[in-house]
Amino acid sequence: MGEFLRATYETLQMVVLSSLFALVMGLPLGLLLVLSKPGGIKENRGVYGVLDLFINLFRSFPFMVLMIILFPVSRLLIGKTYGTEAAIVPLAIAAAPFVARIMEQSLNEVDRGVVEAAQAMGSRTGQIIFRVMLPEALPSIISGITITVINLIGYSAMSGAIGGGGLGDLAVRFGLHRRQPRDLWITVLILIAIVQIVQFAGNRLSRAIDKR
Amino acid sequence: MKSGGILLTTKNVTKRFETDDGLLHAVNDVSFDVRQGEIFGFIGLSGAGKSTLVRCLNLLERPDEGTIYFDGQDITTLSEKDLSLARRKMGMIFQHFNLFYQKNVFENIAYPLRLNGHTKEEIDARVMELLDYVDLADKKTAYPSELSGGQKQRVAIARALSTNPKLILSDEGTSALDPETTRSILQLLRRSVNEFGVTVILITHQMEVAKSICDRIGVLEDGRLIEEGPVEQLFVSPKQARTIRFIQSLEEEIEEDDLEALSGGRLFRLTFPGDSSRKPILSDLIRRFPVDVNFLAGNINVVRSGKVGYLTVEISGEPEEIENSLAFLTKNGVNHEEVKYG
Repeated sequence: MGEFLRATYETLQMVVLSSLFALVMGLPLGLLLVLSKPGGIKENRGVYGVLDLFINLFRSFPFMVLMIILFPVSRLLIGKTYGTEAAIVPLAIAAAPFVARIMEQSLNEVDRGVVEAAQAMGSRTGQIIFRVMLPEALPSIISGITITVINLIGYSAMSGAIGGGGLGDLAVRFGLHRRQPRDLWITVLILIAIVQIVQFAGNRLSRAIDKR
Repeated sequence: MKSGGILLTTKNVTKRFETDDGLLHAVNDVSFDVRQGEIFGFIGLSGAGKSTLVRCLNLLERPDEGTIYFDGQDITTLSEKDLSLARRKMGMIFQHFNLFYQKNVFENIAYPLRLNGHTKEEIDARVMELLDYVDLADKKTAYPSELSGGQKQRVAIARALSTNPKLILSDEGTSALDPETTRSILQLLRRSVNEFGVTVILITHQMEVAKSICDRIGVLEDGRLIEEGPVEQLFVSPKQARTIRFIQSLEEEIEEDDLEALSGGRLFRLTFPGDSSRKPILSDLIRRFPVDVNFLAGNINVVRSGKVGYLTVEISGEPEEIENSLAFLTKNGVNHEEVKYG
């Protein structure tokens, strides 16, 4: 029983922290993409082009490869390349470009006419971002964050390779090494429950605040 | 109509767009003056550059050439910060209302006031005053998705008026509304001019709108302002031959805006070319086929002249009888085209 609890705690630790860091990195990137895109309110082809390329580049790496490549970064930030804390670094960096794309998509859904109305009223760029675009896109952003968190639950299973622990790692050990199918399935059921809860909560929240 | 000094002057405003077919002069060398307290309307067919022109006036589109003097300053030379301040002296309403979907009615109207840094008490008082003015006090906490089109536009007008702007721009502000709601929105605009001394520049493809509310009208064709003048002059004695042609073509366009099937039949726009307009084809048709024909709109002047006649009708009956009727029309040289409605 202790094993399950500990693994659940590790998974939650990895997912919650890497989600937070991914949002901190990804949300501004997504915003920058939308502002600088051709036809955006701060159009800048150079910024947009570099950002677009950079995000695609990071999204191309298979997660396993990314974990290995990011060893130096983990060592720099955490002081080690092994363990739950160290796994948070590649998880967050893998999810950040995904968050940027999700954010870009959500902000692009904001009715152009609404942004123009705000411009016509004399809103400055910061006011358009924080008082119009973000509030208008919020239900969609929350749906996107839900998807990100669920993806991270999946990715975190792979972090066992670098000693990240967690439910995915436990399932692999039960299934492959110890041949305990019953415990394997219990682990999977816990993962299913977590995913269900996250999806349910995300949907409810998004719908509750959406006034469209 | 009482009018004050000049509020807005454009000189040689030109806006070009790159299109697949080359350079398009959406607005071509347009100059005009608008006086304080008047309602100035631009009419034109779709693609004439109306929308681009009105969007140039608050620099939602930046003109490639020309100057726009508003309230004593050339706004095309302003810094971004000063432009946003100048824009706070103009309100704008749109065809699709463009309300903030995630803000309720109160917050929509309060938005421009918050930009100007008013206190909470000032904002509360001003929004309530405006809600009363547009007769929506009971919708204070409703969200735009809960409102009808007319109510949305009233909220948009209240939002545009909230900071006591000198000018309201309307980009097809009534085009998405039914005729009755259109009239009430136009009355509201007229009342705002009379009570607050605000000036209105509107664009429309609906001639009834232009006729019923504007003091002066400008006619746009292919990006050029081909004629402008007081509304009576333009409709009674236009100077330019192409203005006359234009007004006729607009009349035909408008009729179909207000159409709806009366008894569940199909709507057709019939064209009677050449001498076919002199023959009693339709009465023939009604006698021959068991169908009902409702006359919805037509241009009788043109029909009488015997050149080209337009008639919009609703034909109802058994589907095959309708098809037979259409074949009969074709045989007699009458073109038909189904009109989509609803």
